[in-house]
Amino acid sequence: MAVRSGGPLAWLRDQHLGVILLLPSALTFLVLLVFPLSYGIYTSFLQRHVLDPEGVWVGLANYVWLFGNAEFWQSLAISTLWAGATVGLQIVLGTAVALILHQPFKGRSLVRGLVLFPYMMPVVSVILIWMLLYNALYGVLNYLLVQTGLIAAPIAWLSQPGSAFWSVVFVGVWKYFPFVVVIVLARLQVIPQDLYEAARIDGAGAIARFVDITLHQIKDVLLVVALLRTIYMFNNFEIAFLLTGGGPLRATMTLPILVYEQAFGLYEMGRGSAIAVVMFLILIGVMSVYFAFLRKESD
Amino acid sequence: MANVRIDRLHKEFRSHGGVVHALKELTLDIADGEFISLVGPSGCGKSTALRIIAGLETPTSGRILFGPRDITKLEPRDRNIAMVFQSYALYPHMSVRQNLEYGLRKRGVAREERDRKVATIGAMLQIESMFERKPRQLSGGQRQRVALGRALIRDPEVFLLDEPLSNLDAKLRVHMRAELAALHQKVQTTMVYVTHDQLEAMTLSDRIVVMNHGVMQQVGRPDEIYSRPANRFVAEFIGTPSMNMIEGELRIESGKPIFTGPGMAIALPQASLHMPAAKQATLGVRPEDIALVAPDTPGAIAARVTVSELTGAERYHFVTVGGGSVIIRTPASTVLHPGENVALGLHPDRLHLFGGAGEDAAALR
Repeated sequence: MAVRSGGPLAWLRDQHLGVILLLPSALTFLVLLVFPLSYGIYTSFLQRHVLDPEGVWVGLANYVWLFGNAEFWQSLAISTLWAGATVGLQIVLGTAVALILHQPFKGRSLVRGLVLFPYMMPVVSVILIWMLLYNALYGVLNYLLVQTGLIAAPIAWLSQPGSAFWSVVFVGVWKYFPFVVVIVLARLQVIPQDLYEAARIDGAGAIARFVDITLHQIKDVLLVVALLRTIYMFNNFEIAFLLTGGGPLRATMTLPILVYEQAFGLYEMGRGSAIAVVMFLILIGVMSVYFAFLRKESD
Repeated sequence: MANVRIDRLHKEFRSHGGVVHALKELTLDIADGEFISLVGPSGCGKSTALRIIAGLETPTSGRILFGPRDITKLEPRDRNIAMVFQSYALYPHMSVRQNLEYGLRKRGVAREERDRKVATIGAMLQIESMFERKPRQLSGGQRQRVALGRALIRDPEVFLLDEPLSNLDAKLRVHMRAELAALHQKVQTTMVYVTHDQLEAMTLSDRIVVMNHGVMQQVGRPDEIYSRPANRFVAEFIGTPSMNMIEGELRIESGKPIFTGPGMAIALPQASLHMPAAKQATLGVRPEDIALVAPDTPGAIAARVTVSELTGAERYHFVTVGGGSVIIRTPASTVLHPGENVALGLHPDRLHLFGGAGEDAAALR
């Protein structure tokens, strides 16, 4: 390197240069990640109210409160079901659509573009549209279902605990399945064609070819997609919050909404932070299991 | 085991605004147990022909028969063929054993029978030690053996090989070529082999089919293809370095055919009188059929050496004759220096004469 010999930068040795080059990303990491995270963890040990911004150190009291609180356990169950259901259905629907869009047909490029539509639209617009569709009195969904005779009377989709949860799940699936389509479709396009040809010669029918070749080829990306979607959906706040606000009867009260309720509804910053820290630990756990599994797979 | 009859096979591909004739009226009889190579440059239709035999493509017209059985419309699985792909196409997530027995499994062969066959094939190809490994843990040559094993295990009537050696490095390719020849000796199954490598075709085949632009140019034993090429394309395609092609004129002087080209006038054998009376003609002569002679030899051609290349056992000498360039192949012991003047003699029995345009040509003899 030129900096080694002579010149005004002669004092700069390779080790120093390395540190200097790392500094911007290290600082960014500290400021944007380590600081907020530590601050959040610190806050979870405080009783802090909006009128008392200094807060009082209460140790593990927030966690003790949390684990003894039925609403927390209920929200944890709802969040788990919500993440599991939306991710599972996104993967099934996304893979199915990707398989269809991988087949040659007229207007395929147009359809491939249109499929991305839900993913591209702003969440708030999507939610407003779905609130209209789901509306009990003048919603299009009820109109169509009644017209076709599938149901006798309109259903108040978002006002009953059971239907509200699944209605919210449906929107979550609809909004984010294009992400799965894009990734799976990209993977499908690089599966070597001669694997299918070899299988055809070996006597594999269409189903055997899907199971023995396609599924194994896309398995790796499905695992990555499952991890990414799980993190995203478990943390997702806006869909349930905007559609139902966590109701009715807490049926869609996911953990992020519970955090919001504690921190900004009841001004209990400490308790809100404690829930957020628990969510963080849960996701760390999920990722550890995932990577342990991947390591086992790859040898 | 079956003979294969390919009857006026035709394949058109329709693409944006045009029709491509990948294969034009290919007719060919392949004997039971024969090793036949389809050879030609990229896009000559050799792979299309193989894929149609496999059932991976449907022909636009024409028929394929295995023995008395018309298999033109059958699915690949119902044809009793096996194929080895250039990329090997091993199932990446399956072990070697699972790869080998996949076809048997799909045909409902019982477990004991499968185990027995896997063991036999494993021993034959010396791959028993890697049964539990995945394809990515194997070297190129080992993958190649597994691909061959997967094809062999089903006792196919016809064995199709699509450039199976072209992903191997040069040394391994020579080794596997010999193994492939030995394998064919052993199993005696009909093999159809596609390659762009004329050396593979020459060394392995009972017969060679040379193709260009979807049209069969010549079919024959390797020595026939080499010593009696049917036209200029075959003459130039087969042989390294390529046959020298000298443009000139064919004249009759006092009842004898004479070829005159730049810096030469060569008396041809009488047989060439049967040539179409083309005035323009091309004389083809292989680099090894040109000899260095004493300058006072009657009919000797004057030439000047430009470059000499040593390839090991042989030397290639590039010489200029009357402004044109000619390659001569000699033993390595023949040393010539750039700028040296030499005299050349052509072996009269080994000359090839083609019509001027080169397309409607017939070899001299």
